[in-house]
Amino acid sequence: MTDHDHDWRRQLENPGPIDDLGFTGRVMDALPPRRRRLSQAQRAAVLMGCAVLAGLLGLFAFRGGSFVAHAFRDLVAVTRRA
Amino acid sequence: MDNLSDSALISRVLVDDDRSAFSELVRRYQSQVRRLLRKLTGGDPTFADDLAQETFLRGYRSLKSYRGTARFSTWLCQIAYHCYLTEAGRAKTRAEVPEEAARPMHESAPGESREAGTLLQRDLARALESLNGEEREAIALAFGQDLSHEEAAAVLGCPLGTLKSRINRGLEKLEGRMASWRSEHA
Repeated sequence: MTDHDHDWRRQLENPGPIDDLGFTGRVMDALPPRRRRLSQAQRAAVLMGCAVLAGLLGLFAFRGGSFVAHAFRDLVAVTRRA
Repeated sequence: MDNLSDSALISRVLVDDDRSAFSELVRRYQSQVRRLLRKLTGGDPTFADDLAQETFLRGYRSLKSYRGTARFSTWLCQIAYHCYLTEAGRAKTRAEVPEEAARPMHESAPGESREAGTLLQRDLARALESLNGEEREAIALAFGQDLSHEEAAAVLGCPLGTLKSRINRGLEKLEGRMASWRSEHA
């Protein structure tokens, strides 16, 4: 093998690094917009809001929750009879 | 960021969408990915850099699917290879390039690649370009990429034996081509 043969094999095996020259910056600029993250207080507020909404819907759907009172009265009546 | 491991950086990206952590990953592997794509595209730095950018964008979008079973660099090379196949068109790039059609390496962008421009590099780029697609891909992945032959075979999705025979065939052709050009220069 001549020096030339060694040279091209060396070049093939160890081509040396490619300088960044702004490549990383271009990739970062092309990334999709950052995901919007809620703070802990915002997450708590959303959770509370959902709970209140679910409660109101429940009251509306079951006529102010009167079925609970009826069920309780029925239970008491059954217990007394027994 | 410099001293954080790849897995720590990946966790930061996944949990907090930490852009500086992803930037560090790009900085770490840009050279390897761009070099691979330059070899695959026959030394076209502009086209290779477009594919490299697409590689990192795909990597960012599919980072959740990285299981850590292979090295991160191997995973990126796999994405880069698929980008190349998709964008360059498998049929076109796998067609054998006749020797007389081997064209000079594209001009480097201004200020790009301090080692570019040497006669040896140009000859090597032209010689690589004149190989058929399978041989060029095998040599591009197996040399100068910090990948073992097993990893290169995994990226190409072929058995290890097949990879080795493609490398041997490719090296023989390169040797012949480089020797003939050397005698022309002499």
